[in-house]
Amino acid sequence: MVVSAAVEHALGAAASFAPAQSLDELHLCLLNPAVASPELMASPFFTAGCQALLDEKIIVLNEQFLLEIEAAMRSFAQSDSLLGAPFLKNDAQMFGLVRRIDADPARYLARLRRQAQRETADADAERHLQHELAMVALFFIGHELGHFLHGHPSGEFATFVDPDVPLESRIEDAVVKLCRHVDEFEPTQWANRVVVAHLTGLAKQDAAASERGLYGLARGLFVAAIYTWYKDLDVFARKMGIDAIADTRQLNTMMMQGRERYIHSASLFGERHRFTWLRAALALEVVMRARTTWFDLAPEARSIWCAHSTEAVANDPTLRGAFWLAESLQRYFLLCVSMDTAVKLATVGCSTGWMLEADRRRGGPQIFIMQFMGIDDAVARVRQMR
Amino acid sequence: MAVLSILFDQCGFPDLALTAAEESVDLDRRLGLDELIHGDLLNVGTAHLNLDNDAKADACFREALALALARGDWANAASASTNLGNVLAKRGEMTKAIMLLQVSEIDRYDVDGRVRRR
Repeated sequence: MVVSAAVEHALGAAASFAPAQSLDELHLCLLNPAVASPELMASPFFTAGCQALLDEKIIVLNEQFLLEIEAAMRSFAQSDSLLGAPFLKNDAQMFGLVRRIDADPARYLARLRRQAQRETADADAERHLQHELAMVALFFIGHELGHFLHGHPSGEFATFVDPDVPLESRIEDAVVKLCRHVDEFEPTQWANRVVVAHLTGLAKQDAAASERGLYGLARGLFVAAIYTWYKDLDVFARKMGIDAIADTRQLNTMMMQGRERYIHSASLFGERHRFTWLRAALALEVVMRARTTWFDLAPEARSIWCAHSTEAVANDPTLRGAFWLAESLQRYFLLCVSMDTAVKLATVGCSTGWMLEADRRRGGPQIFIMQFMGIDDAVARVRQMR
Repeated sequence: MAVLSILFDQCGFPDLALTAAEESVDLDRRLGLDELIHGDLLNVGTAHLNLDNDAKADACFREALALALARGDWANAASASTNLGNVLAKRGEMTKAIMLLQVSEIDRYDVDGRVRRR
């Protein structure tokens, strides 16, 4: 019910996006892998995340994918502030969350949902969480809508490292795959446009609801990005022989064991433009630039911290906008800072062909050590920001 | 559930500790185990404190303190008072925090379960 309501809400918002009204026909199909037939699972209709089927005029959204995102969102939502979330204390906590959800997503989610049904539960918090899920669904659906509106040949957002498929091992393919992510910067970011249009429309009716909507988007996208990245990294590490990776120090050692490991890492980045982390950071910046004046301020006037205490914010509704913006900015900058690992993997992956050539000319390989940053280091850097 | 909550807390999983502690309070209420509620509320407050939910932790410790005092459970009242003092200190309200911490220091169980002032 929670997921289908969020998707319905998102679909309504996407349908009211002016360019979408030029489409004669568009359907959304919520695919539930738990009850889908083997034929359906093997068909082009199956997606691990979200995809657009242009000929059929259908957007397919995997319900399991959204359920997992919801479980991660509920886990993060137990803390009122971003930096209070235990999963950001270290990488082991993040991998722990991923494995906890992965072990039995339905049961884990049911347990978390039970908290919202308690007599003393905060009804507003639950309403906001469902709205955040709807904003995330809108972002994914908006992206797929872009394939229909822009005529991209095909689209599939947020597919993951498949545990049953061999990792990328062809240098040429890996380089193309990794370099293709430059395309993420192309101007036609439909998902962003759909979200901005939705928040702008909302602001005309209720300015505070629009500000809260942006905050909800930041919360939801942040969790979707960080959860899917750690999930992929966990599967990747397992395929490289580490049963339960605990932190980036293990990743450092794992990656220095051979040049081919960086070629394999191309599997983390999907076939087309699926890297949720990068798209989430880009989207947040675009939406915050469109909906706030923060980026227009002089650098010395900018701060990612709320000037008011949490008690003051709790007692004075007029201060909430400042708190929401500060929390959204912290999420955006944490995504930017901690993208370091992905950027290093992609950059070295792209350069591996040349590095192998240099090894060959030299007559042997050199030790190559890349230092990856843990989530705790990234949080420490964000804390140092003004 | 209360033991599980403490275990989760000690293992560094405040999110799981919170779920377990809240369920133990619900269970106390459903089963009419009023004498256990304030003790379990302390676990809920501790989990909130570890999640940086200071306002929620404050509310839990205040409720636990009131219930413990009403039942004459001085040990848990002292714990609630100490924890509340920590929340206030974190918030910068040092005078109130010191007062609460002093109260928890002088209130002790005696052998008959009564308050002993030192």
